[in-house]
Amino acid sequence: MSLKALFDKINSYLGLDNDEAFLIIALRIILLVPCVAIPHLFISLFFPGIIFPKIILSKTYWLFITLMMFIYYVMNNLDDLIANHIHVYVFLMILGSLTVVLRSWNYDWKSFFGTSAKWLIGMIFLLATIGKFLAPEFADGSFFEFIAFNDKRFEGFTSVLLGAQSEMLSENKQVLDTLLATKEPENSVYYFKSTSLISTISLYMTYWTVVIEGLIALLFLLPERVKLSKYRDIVLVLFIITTYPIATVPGFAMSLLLLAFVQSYLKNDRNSAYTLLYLFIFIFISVFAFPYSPYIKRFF
Amino acid sequence: MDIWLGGGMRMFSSIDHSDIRMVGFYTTVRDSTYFINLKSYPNLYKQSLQARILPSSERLAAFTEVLENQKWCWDKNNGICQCSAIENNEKLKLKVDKLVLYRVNYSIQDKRVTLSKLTEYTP
Repeated sequence: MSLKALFDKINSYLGLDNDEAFLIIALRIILLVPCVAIPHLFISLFFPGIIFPKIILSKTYWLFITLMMFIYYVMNNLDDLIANHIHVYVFLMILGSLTVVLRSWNYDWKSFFGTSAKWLIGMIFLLATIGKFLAPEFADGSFFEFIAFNDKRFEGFTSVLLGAQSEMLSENKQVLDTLLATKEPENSVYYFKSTSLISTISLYMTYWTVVIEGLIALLFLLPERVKLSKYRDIVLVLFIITTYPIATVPGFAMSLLLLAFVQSYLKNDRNSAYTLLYLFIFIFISVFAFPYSPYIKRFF
Repeated sequence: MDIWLGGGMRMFSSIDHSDIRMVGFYTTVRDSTYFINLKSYPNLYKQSLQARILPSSERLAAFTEVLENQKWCWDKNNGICQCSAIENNEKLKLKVDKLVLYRVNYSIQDKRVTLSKLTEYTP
């Protein structure tokens, strides 16, 4: 069986065998992603769209829910306590709304949806790369070594690297707490404990992150006619599978996978391994956020 | 602006974010200057958090006013503290000399963790 026939069979089984089915799946994902992080009030607004195909293609429905989210999260901004990922969800909803509106006006919604997804990925990674050059502690590896000890999402990874020395995690947290409680902020100096393995890995992670994020920005912003742009999906997949098992941020990973799925489908048509791969990773991405370290420690 | 909140959008680049910022104020009592770290005052948590997330001058000015209207006392063991926690201490009328926001710095070379001034507000 040829690859094309195999993908056709899988797509047909998944109900992903025409553009409308693809659009419904993409719009459902836009509504599903924020459900991991927003209050139940908004989830109730999203459920009719997720459940009923006719509602999810209604422009009135999309304009209503997007307006609600936009007013609540972006205009209101709620004392700046809104996590950045929620802003990203609102941008995705605006993209979904515009696509549904264009479709209802018989405009070329596929080109709009696919191009917007591609540009969003390119710009996200371009700005992320610039942001890394603007932070003085990033280039020498200090950033990754610090968050290895002080970011909950890296705890599992750091525990595995520290092995028998994992008490260093709590000791360094104690050091930071003591510093933040000081009455002499100008003169307080404390020291973290670390290992040469953590320092070396932090440095390699720094180089890797800058190179791969910069490369994704470049490949997604390059015009299609440049041959190099055909490698964009493989680089993005490489980024996803090397990043999210370590930095467990499923909200952003899901948003990125949605955009990747949309641009891949609309660029390569549905017979692309990447289109299915993005969907597959989307389904299983939350598995990475499971706290494995206590179980790993039990065995080693 | 906090890089993780309110559209700061510089995640995974800097170690600095609101959870590990520290806000406090300098005040002068009997010709000596004291620094009051506001981490240990739960009743000021909301204002402290907002100052750590977005330390705009309007926000810091409003916070300064709140601080000057608190009931402060002098305790012989702990120095300046809020009166509600300790009774029968000398009451103080504090004036904020400057309200300061600090961020954490870290160096991979010598593993040093320090604080540096991010911004300050002088009434």
